[in-house]
Amino acid sequence: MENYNENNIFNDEQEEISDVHMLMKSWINERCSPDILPYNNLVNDLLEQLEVQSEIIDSNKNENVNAAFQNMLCQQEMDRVKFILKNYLRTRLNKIEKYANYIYQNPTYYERLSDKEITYCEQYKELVDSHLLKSSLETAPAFLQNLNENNMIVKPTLDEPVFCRVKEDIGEVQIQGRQGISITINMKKNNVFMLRYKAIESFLEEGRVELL
Amino acid sequence: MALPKYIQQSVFTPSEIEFISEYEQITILPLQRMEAITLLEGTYGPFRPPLTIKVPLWLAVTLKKKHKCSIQPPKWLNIETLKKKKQREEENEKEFSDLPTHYFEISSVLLDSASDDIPYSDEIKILLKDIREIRRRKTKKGLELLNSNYIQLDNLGLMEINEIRPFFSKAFNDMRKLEEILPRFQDSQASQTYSMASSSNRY
Repeated sequence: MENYNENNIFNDEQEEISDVHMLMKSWINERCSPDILPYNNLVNDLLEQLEVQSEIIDSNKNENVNAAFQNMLCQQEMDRVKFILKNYLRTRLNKIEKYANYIYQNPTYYERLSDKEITYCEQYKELVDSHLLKSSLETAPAFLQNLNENNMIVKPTLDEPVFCRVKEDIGEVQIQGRQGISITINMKKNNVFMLRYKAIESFLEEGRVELL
Repeated sequence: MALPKYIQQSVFTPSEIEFISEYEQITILPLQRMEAITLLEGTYGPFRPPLTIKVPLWLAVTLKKKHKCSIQPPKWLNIETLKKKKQREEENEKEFSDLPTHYFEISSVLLDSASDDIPYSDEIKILLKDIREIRRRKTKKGLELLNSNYIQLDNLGLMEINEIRPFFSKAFNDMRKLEEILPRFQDSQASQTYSMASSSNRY
């Protein structure tokens, strides 16, 4: 069978994957996963690169027509990268807001967030808590006032289905299906599955699958 | 809210998927000389006609719009290959033919902006539409296979996945939730049949 994947940016066979492509993968994975994934440190690098690039554009401003055209292309690319960056960070903020209470109580989640995100999460939680308290909870009976009880906390559902593509041959894998029954599936390169996020969580971390 | 509602629901918008596919590499033939261009994602060029060069799709389209290059269609985007794919698509009811993940987005971007570089572009448009229809029919049929364990959807494109995602995810989740309650239900049913069996044994 013919293989068209040589044109594929998601292919590992490409010797060098640029920061932009790496960030894009993180963005796609983040958008598709029900859980918060570890923060990609490339964000800061890319912000710096963007600044350098805009300085270069500025310094080339008054040169010939060719340079003007190249500047336009650079500018266009910068806008694209900024879009990915913004969307990546906003996707994460959306999840942080949703699971603020849960993150707050689980130190393991702190490792996945950047320093700024941790500050955001804590402040957001404080604000929401104090707002709820002031607006209604104060008048409720004391035993209903606790916001940190287990059933009050929204957790990421790891059983949610995700679509994923296998990036390398993994072979026979045991996944947990309904009612905890384990099922064996054969994961070969370029297979596409829809399954529970929980089942491929570790593979995603190792970069052996990607979400779609 | 950090993300607009419509994005939270269907995961990707079609324009976002097009955006993602615009990072695929494509071969172009530059029409005029240009120095190498250093972008954040890498350096492309120098552009020296008549040497072809690979660039990301978005760059190819921009250059094409400024009449600075002509685009060489990817090797699957021609009548013969697509006819074969269509045939395979029709013959094999259970599988999707091996078109690239972004075949739909790339072809629509190229047919939109560079149809003069693609021979027989009108016929290709029709073929692509046919293929898409057949594949769509198959995904609809594939709904029968949906269960709360897993389904395999090899060769399905990103746009196609995104199309079925809201419905498939919802169905998957509903089945999963029902099955979480089911063991209790099954247990009570099993004990019922058991009591019936034992009572029939008595007769």
